Amino acid sequence: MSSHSDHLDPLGPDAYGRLVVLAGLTDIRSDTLGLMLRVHSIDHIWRCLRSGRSLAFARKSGAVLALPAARAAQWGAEVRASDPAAAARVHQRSGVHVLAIGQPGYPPSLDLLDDAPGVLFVQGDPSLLGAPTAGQRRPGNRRAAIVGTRRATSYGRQIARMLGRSLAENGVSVVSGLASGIDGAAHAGVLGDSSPHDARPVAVVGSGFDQIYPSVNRGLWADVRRDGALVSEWPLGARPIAWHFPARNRLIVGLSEAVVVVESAATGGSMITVRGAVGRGIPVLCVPGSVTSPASVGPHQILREGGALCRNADDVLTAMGLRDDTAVPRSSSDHRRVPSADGAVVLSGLGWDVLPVERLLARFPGTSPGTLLLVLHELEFDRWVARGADGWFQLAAGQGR
Amino acid sequence: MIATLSSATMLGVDGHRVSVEVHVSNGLPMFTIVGLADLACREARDRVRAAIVSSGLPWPLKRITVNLAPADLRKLGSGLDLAIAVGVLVASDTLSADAFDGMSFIGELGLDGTVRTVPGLVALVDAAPGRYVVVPAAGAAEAACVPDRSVLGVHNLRQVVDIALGNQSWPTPSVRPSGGYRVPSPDLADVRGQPFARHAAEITAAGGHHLLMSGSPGAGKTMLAKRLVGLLPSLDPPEALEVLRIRSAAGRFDGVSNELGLDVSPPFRAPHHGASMVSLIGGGTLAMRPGELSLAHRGVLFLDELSEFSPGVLDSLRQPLEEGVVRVARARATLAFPAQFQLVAATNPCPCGWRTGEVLAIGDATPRCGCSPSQLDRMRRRLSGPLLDRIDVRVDVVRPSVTELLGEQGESTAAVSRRVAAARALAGERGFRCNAEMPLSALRRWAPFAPDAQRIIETMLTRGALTARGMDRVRRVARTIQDLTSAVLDDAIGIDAVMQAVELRRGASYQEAAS
Repeated sequence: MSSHSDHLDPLGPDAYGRLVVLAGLTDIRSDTLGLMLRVHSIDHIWRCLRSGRSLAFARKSGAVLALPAARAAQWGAEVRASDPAAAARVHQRSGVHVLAIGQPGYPPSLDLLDDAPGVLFVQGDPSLLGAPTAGQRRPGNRRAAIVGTRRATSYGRQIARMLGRSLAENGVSVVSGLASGIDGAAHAGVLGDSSPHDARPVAVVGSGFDQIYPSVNRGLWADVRRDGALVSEWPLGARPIAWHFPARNRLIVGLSEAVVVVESAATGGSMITVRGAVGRGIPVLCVPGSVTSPASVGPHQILREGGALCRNADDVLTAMGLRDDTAVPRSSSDHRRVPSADGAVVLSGLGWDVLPVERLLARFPGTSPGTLLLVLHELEFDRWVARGADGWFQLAAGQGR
Repeated sequence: MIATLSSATMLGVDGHRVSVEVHVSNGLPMFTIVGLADLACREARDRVRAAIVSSGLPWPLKRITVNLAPADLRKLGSGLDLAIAVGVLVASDTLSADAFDGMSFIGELGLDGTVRTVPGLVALVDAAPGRYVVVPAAGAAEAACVPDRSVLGVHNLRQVVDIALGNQSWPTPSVRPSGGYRVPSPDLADVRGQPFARHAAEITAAGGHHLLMSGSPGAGKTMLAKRLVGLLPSLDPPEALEVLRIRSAAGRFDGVSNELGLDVSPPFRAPHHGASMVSLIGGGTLAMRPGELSLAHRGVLFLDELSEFSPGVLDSLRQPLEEGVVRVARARATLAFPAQFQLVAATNPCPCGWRTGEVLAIGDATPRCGCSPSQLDRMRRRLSGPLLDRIDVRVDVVRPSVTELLGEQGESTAAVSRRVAAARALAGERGFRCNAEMPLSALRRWAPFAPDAQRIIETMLTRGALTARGMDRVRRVARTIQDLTSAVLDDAIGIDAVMQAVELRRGASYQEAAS
């Protein structure tokens, strides 16, 4: 953290504190602040609001907007009551970088958005948000998003974890929202025990950095801060309010070169992200699931409408132009030890869905539980099977590491 | 004149001997009771006076002082009434003391002289000195279970007076129940299919391990739990007496005829998940009564819907699970109630109960789970941690398939309990009631791993799939599994038993975080 702290405020101490105050004004939308900052200096906005004056600013379409007088008065009062120096101290102590639109360090891919956030708060390494650099061997700042429902199935979580890990292995930063379910699983894959050391996760969250939500992901939250970058539009202390989450989805799209939907209902946050990606012309990849699973309705619908198929990380890398489509598929990369004769028999009786031991035993009448469990243990050791919350299931190549 | 009679009072589940000293002297007529008597005990004055007058005897118009010794022991309840009344009659020279030599008196008096029964007769009789104990006739069967005492059941004070005057002889002592009988429990043969869950039940019965079952509603968790108690061996006489003493103290002696013998069935208690802390662990402000945990002593405590119990109640289980006693601390006293029970818990896999990893076929009418991640999380947090860690056998109970439901019956309770008894006998030869009670040092001595099993355990330890503590727990359960098939005290634990024990540790697990 200390290595970055020198660069926390390339803007100068005044601007740093004022931006923190502005981003935290009551009900301010970060894209509104973005529009203001595109045409006015921080200093100007600050002085106008201080004196309770309104400001005019323009959309990209050319429409000129003015801040309503009542709003200007309210924010003016808040600005006058604020202590930018104190706010700056608090944020600097927590190692929060403040990136303002139009200033050096602001992610160029976000700058292209019509509704770009005026201010971006980053904990960790802000250089991870920079422009992608070419180079097939060692790509830099290549980012792909993995999104999906919070109500994920164990299959969905498995796949998200596998994709997260494989993408990290290939030097791609995984962008996600750190929600429970798919989001968390993807980053858990990136940061797992056996993860590559150069995994650089990027997480866009919907609250201030001191308001960890959901709290189950506290550990991941800290790991992302340490190894990658935590990004928020909100200053410290901002609560995780419901409308923050759909809003941050546009940043997930804005920061990514491809979006992978692992599982989603037909409506929901992930579908908002997908619509955003389609609108910006970013490739959307979908992981298919069981046709009976309500969690896979969303991806199936997008596939039907022309989304790309995602079976593994190679599909994502291809969509990002990091893999040659015509190259031999890497699915032959199944390095697992060939199962024993007994193992093969047990595998044949074990589906891709979870099977409790009781049911498994019923499939092999006459086999003692000890014998069957020993075979399962060997298969588990070689990563052919895994034990979930209520039973055993088969793993695909590359899964469950 | 002074008369001294013996009686007893209760504290928790223990009886304490009390000497009732009655002094009658000339002076202003009055009647006082001293010696740390509680309210019910002090009210004895009015009951005793009315009972004596109703029995047709004169009330001595003198100065009567009753001392309950030892003076520092708190006396609770009304069980001293009879001793006080007889003491007054002897001290006022209405009756001769000779008739009551070597006797103790226990019982509450009604205003008409009736001798009524009190809770805790077993402990009271046990604590009372002397060979003969006079008790209420209604409680004679309960009191007669105490060894080395002759119990004389009386109906009213007049009867005692007549005996002392020689108009009537003592009733014949109540017969001490001989032999034991077991309350019939449902048969394991009713459980169709589910060989693994049945085996888990057999293992828990044989080793005295705690059991957690997870499964959807209707999978048969309660059915198994109710049958588990039938697999346990009968209580031996001292154990049966311990159980009886607790039941008696709780006022729950069911009055089953002693002709059948002593009740040697292991208790089965299934408190509802709304149960309060006090009803479970015992206590209360005045009379400290044992709770459900103690009533399950030497038997099974079945907690259905474990996750629905309040967190405080679940926490209160930890200490009894560790020590086998419940300590209830109140301002007046700290009591230890015995609570060496086997915990059998059941839970749904999620709050709605229908979560399953199995992919359901289209048209399958089984309800789908609709629980949100945060609901699941809350449930897991409630169950996780120290309590779960003390449960060695965890199993997923799945609904039997149609073929199993229509198939043949499984093994009967009689057949399985024979194996359980044999396994318990092995534990007995090692010097313990069951494997669950074996300390770690003994466990390592009696349950070495065979070389191939050792290798598997080592790989699991290095991969972090097993912790050191987990290994000991696996060893313990594996010992029991092997005891069910082998009759050797200290043969090396084979790979078969180890693998089953490992699976039983991973069942009903909530480790898959919501991530």
